[in-house]
Amino acid sequence: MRILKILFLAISLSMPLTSYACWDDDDDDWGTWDPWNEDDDDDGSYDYDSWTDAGWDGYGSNGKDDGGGSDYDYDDYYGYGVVITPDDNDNDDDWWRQPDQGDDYSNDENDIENDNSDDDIIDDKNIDNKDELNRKTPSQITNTAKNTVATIISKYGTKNAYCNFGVKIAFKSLFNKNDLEGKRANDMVRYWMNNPIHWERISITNAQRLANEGFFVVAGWINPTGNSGHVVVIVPGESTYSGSWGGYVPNAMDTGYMKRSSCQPISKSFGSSKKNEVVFFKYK
Amino acid sequence: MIMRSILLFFVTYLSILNVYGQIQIFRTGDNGNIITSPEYIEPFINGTHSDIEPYILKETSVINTDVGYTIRCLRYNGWENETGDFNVIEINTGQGEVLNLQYDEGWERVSMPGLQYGNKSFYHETLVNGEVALFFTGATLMSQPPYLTIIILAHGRACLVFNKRMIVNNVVRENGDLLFNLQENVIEWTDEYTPADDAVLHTISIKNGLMYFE
Repeated sequence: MRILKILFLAISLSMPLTSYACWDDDDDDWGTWDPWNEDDDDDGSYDYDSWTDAGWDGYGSNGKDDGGGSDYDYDDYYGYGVVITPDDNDNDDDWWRQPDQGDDYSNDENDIENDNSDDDIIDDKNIDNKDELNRKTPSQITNTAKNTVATIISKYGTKNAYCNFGVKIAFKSLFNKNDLEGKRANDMVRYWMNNPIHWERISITNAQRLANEGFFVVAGWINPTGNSGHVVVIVPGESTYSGSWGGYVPNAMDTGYMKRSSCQPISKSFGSSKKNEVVFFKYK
Repeated sequence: MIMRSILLFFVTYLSILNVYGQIQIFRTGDNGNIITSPEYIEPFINGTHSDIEPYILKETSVINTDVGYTIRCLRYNGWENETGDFNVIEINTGQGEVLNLQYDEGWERVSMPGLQYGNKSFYHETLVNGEVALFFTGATLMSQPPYLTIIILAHGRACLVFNKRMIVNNVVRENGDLLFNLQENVIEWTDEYTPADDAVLHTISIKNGLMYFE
């Protein structure tokens, strides 16, 4: 019996030793991963003075700079004195504002689907009747985003991940359809990809403009690990310069983990390291 | 008699599991060097940015142990519209810079349930032999857990020993030991009553001045 005890003890002592971590004497071996090599440079800081509380005053463009500084104030995000400033200069390097140059990055070699055709990129001059049916006013989308965030906060609090609920609730509020019901974020993005009849792939270049024109625009990222992905609704407003994304980015409603915003730059919703994996769709 | 032996075996086995299930995050070598474990250190994914300097100083702290360490937290220039409160951690001693970390998505001011630490950029805890652990929390976005970044100050050096995506659910101090209850995944919901995932839980504990991960 004593031999048996010794045997048990020896086995039990030896088994957990294999679970030890693999130690490495090189304590500085965490390298800096630097896969991005962007030289896009736009040193024009954005002028938030163009945001006012006067309400939505149209989405036409005057292309003017009102001379304000970059006195960013988060509260101002909720006002919509919006001035869109399209870029008429096709020779400069601000590629994110040139949808007709063919270099819009949802369609370049880094594109998630490696699709180099422009067929799936919306042409704003060809908005057909079906599109019109699903077109809302910008204020409808803005108010829906605010109400959706308020609903998420009141029902589920301010912390947990409900980005899929946010998009689903906003969509149902605007179109009274249950198409997005029961889907996780990853599922939702796949659904958009696989239903081109209703969900048209667009580029980031067009996302803000289409939202400003009253279309329901969404963005999503599929987590390749299978864990939670992320989805947002693009909301009307003025594009914001993002240093991390290296260009102007649209605004999004985000009800993901620790996020409850009805309007924030999408660079606060998706990390810049994933920017080429974020896909945009317009409901039609 | 046989039943007693089997019982003895399981008791022994469970007690050993309890010891060995907790793995030290780092060790200190004979020469005082910090020996890290790569499985606890994920690399920061950063881009190349040409116009982010000069950095903007957000906070400076000084910690005196064996030597004096100055910890500076800085923000990339022009990153007002980005996540996080600061993107650079610089640690200096009288001998110069001993560690510099950069993270595009940024770290935020420490906010861990159960930990009263004011509005600071990091939390620090003294370990054995005067070593000090600094705890930083990364910014949250994409419904992913933020990074938990742990740096050890020891013997005039600073060393990154832990950088993994972990939600700090709460921090508990009991009998002098400190326990960080962690969760490595964000729970998503398919409907109001159905979580899509189970929480994957871990702990970091500091017992007798040593730091363990489980």
